[in-house]
Amino acid sequence: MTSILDKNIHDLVSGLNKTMFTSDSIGKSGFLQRLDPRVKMIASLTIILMASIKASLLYLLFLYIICLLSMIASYLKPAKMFRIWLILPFFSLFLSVPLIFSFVTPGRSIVHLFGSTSITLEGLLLAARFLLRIAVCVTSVQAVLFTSRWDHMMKAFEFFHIPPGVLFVLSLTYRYINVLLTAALDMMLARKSRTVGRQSAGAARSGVGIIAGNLMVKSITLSGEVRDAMVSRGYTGKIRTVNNFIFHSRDVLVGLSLIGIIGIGFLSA
Amino acid sequence: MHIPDGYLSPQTEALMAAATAPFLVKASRQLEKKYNKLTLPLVGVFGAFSFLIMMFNLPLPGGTTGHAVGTVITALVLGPWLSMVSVTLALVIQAFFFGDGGILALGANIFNMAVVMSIVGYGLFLLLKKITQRESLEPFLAAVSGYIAINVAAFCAGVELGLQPLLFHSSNGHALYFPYPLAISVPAMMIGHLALAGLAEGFITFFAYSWIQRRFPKLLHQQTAANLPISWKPIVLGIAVLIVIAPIGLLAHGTAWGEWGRAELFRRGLSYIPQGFDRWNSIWSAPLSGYNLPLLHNSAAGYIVSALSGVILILAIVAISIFVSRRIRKKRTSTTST
Amino acid sequence: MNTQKIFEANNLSFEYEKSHVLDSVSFEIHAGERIAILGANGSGKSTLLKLLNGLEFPTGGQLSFFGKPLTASYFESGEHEYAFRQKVGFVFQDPDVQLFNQTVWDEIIFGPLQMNLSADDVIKRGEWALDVLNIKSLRDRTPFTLSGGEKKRVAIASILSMKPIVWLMDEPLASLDPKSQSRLIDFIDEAKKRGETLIMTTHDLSLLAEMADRVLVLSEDHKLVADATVDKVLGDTKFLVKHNLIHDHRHGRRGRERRQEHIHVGHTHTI
Repeated sequence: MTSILDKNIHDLVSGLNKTMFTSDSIGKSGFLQRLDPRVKMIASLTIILMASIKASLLYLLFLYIICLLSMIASYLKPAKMFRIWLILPFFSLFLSVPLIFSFVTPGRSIVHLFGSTSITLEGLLLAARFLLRIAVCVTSVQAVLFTSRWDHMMKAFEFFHIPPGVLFVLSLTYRYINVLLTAALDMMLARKSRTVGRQSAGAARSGVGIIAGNLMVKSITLSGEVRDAMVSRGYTGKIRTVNNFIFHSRDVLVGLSLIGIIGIGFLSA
Repeated sequence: MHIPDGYLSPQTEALMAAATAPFLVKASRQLEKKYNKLTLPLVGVFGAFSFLIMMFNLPLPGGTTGHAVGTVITALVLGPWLSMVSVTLALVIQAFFFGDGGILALGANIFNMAVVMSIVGYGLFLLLKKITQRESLEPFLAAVSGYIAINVAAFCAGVELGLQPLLFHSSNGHALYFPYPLAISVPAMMIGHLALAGLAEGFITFFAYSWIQRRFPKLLHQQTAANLPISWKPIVLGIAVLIVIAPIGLLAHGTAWGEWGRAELFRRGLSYIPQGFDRWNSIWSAPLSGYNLPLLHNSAAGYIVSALSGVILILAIVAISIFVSRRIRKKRTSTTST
Repeated sequence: MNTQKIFEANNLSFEYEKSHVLDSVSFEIHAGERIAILGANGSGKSTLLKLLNGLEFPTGGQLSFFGKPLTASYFESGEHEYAFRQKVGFVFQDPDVQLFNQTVWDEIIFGPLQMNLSADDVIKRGEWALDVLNIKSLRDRTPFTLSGGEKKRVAIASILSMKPIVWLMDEPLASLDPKSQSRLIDFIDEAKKRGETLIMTTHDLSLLAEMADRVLVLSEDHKLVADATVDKVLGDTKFLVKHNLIHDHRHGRRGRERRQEHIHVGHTHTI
């Protein structure tokens, strides 16, 4: 039991490290990969916003299809798409199951189950809207995540006039997640190599506690060193960059089609 | 506790963002002014720490996910304002780079996990510390503060979710966003956090605190030995925003967003009364149930009352902490001076 | 000595939480020198580098840079800070600490960007540093996906782009494979040829002769116990054993009994 837990944590941490910090997860150069990150972010936000304020099932479906099509055009692997599509809203799916029954959502019965319990049309529609909206939101964010380098996204924030100081700490934070993940992995391995045979649940738990405590100490020592390294190179609190994004015609096209998506949203009511 | 996009109405999301804003403005000023530029990396590192802690999450029935946040230990080391910044950084990275928690829902998530938890956890710890006056007990007190703070945060998330079906439904009563009412969302969030995530937060806070106490004692006393540096301005401002904007959001719900009900597919639905929910309300026998039922019929009043009661609850905890700790400090200084 | 005096320490002390990390250390460092600071772990080597980089300030005695004492108030003047950071570059022992930007390129132009140069100059310096360290292929990589040796080269390039006249390197050869070590030694030679001053810490004697001309030895009680040429220090085994720089089973005890008898140098001797 504890070894399964250990393995899961290990997989989680190393998977996280890999997806967050390597650029090979971005995949082949397709539609979304070539898009300017600023445009991608605006597009994703627009879709989430429209999905949040519009309740029409048809419109939500329309947004969902747009998300799926752009992912297909970006050559994302079907397995990955399936994961995005299913695993993330899985919990919402679980949440929406009770909604379809007459004891939660009374209405026109479609499938009679037993006694006074049946599956209702209203329930199905309610569940469908809830799920579809979440699927659209999750997919549109994930589509950007899976096709963008994090440093490009960070630069895109600059364009949205996020104060440079904030961005600097944000990028530092992102950076230290990697250092701490690596440290956590090392500590887990070190502990594993010293553990012979089965471990009691209590020992496993206190092991996790020791790792957390060590991470904390590592956090603190690290921040002092980093501060020194920054100051040493002339950092005085201002962040300066050489920006190098260029808008392409495809970015303009996407921008125009976004206006179309918004228009359809308001007309379809 | 990460609320995804699509669970909250845009009005709620806007409201929560507006309520969070004054705290973050104050926090970032604090970062610039009181603490010099060299504190930035420390804030970043604690953000990373909080991010890692939050990655170990498990789904909770009826709510979203349960996990420790690490806010309270961060607040005890960096103080409540910088800890808001740290946890906010972690939440932003999760939303934008990892897809965990919604982007529009960021305001609500920051409010629950960064703002509320920092203030409650920090205030509570100072209070307990003043009462007990024993250094050896501090890690335990930190753990208790962590446990309670994360549960207050979970309660806020439960209220935010549970208000959705009351406030935002089509003309025939169908929920437009999160479908379960307070009677389900609050206990579901609370059970998971009381039983699991709270313990995890307490455990991590305990461990980290005792560790730092041993290795970096200076860090802890910088923040928790001095006076309570909680300033009332952003708190009052945040609450004012909540109270003022709440009815505006509701008016908008009645007019501009009125097209919900006209959606063609729903026209076929018969007049829908959430009887099922009514029945489930009886499960929740805490004080809320008393005014839960009438609220179903008067959503505007319900919203404000619920929002206010949440706010008052948090305020009360903070106010009592400050009051009692000042009392104790006064007594203590008067006894030591005589 | 005709060359310019860069650093001068007079009874320099540093205390942290009431215990000495450096105890009355005096020395001078002149332009163009290659200096190794030698000492066992915990002898205060890294702290000395931080003092030389103005990251910590003396708690006793004086440390001056081109004749001006390095104190907190010296750095309060933006102009001084600006000039100092430009002239003195610090390569940290752990490149993970130093590399915090999103790409190698951003890392390398970070320093020049802080120096208010024109965008063209920044790019020129970046390209030059990439070229010198032969890491053009790493330009768009994320620093933390690199190997240890690559990280070190990026860290050095990120300082090189600032064109410092003084290099401070904390354990530059530690945890590098032999190939990376010999590359680094080549780099040190080139820097010397350009007239730059190098101050490095190490506790490893095997490559000492190749990286430095002069050695400052810190004892385990945080005092400066030698300031001499590499040959002189390496030639005195008993001295090395005494200060825990080599481990020698046969001579260990006897060395200890005859304290104070070897190249004891209490104060500064320039070469």
